[in-house]
Amino acid sequence: MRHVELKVSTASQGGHAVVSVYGEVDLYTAPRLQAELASLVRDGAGRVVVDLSGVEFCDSTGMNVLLSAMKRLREHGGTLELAAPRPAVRRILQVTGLDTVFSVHDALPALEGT
Amino acid sequence: MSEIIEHSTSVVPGDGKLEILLIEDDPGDAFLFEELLDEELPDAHILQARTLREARERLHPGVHCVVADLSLPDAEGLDLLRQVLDMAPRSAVLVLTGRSDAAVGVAAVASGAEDYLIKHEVDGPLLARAIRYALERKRAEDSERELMEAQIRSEENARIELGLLPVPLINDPDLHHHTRYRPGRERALLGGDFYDTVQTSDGSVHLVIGDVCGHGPDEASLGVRLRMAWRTLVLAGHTGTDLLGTLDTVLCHERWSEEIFTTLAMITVAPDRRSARFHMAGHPAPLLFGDASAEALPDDAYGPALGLFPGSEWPAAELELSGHWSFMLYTDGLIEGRIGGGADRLGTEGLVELAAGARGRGLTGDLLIDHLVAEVESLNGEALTDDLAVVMLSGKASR
Repeated sequence: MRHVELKVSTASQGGHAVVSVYGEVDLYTAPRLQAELASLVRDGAGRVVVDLSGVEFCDSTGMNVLLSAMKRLREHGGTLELAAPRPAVRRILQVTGLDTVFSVHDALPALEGT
Repeated sequence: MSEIIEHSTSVVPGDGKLEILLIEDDPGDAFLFEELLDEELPDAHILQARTLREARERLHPGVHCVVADLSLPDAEGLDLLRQVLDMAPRSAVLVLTGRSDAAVGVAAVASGAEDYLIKHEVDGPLLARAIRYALERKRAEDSERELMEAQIRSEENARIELGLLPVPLINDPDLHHHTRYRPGRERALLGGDFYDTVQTSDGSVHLVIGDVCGHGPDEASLGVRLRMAWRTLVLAGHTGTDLLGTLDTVLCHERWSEEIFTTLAMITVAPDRRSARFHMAGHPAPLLFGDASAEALPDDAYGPALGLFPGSEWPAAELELSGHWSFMLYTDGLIEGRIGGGADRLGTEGLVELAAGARGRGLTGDLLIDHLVAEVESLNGEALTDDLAVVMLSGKASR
């Protein structure tokens, strides 16, 4: 069985956070992304941008994790945005209609104060 | 000897030290039992408690056996036994009774104790044998219970799968219907894929395939409810965006958490089998096979997955059919397999290519589906991660 790597790291400053994700998000790796986003929700993060430029593949489990984090953040007045999806990931966002649910940036936006 | 000792991970006596918790308030009796145990079971480690409260403090998950006097300062009799069983569900429990209340011992065994011993009649060998016997019996009970739970789980899964993967309601000998469901790599992980086919009284045939995001019994059960709702709505005469809007409402009421969405593709074949209308809700494009061709349905009729926006609309698209045709609907498990060492996935385009090759070789129905699933798995290099469902309807346009 192939072991797929997923690396998740967060840089945060003053309630803004950029979560950088590298690798493939699927059934097996999604819990790692979920844990990272859940801890940001717990810490009361305001604006969270998920940098998808390093994501080669993301299945519906991964989309579900992003959607869930966005709803939790919104409950506390926060936002979750996606940045720089590769074509394969953009395709899944388009097919499911999730590209209109998330705000999707072509490139990583500069965060105020960072 | 009343220290709390470190957690022992050994569950099988013999691998490590046998851990015994003795609950006895009479210091003389406690001393006697410790002597007997030391002599007969020199490898055993004995924890002692004088009250139920102390026992609660000293008990840890590595304790194999609890020997409890049924008369303590803070609890007694069967009530005491119930509390011991509750706090030590993984330990074998032996009870000690006085000579005059053997009946309590019998009742204790009926209530869940492994065995009872009458104080002052116990000698070393008898005590050691009773403990070994209790451990064996506890182990046998645990395996039997686990086996039963596994059986219940698998029966439950089978029932749910029956609900997810139903018998089609078609009454037209000129139509051929084929389905396939493959669980993912971890078989126990039931997904929320579902499909259904229903012919209505006007002769139209309606097909649906759906995928509740996520994996597990909750997702599977939601899939069953959505399939039932779809079938009911179709039989009640609903179609198109109106039907999908109602299904969207059902999903929003039935889901346990707001981020649960469902993708779905739906096709209605006209009574003359010469045209079809389809709707897509965030789902990968179904394939249409002609006499010797395969193509993905055009993506100009896309609406969002169910459960994302209230009040969504799903546009319809029309297709002309001629000659022999087959629709193949599938869930993303079929297109998310790898196609090499890297992260690239097959995708709809890759599937169309495989499908065109298979159709070119004259494959149809079950053979076609089997061939495609085998090719996808072989490209992936191992069993697919996700579960996959395929439903295929084949017919011939009337002249």
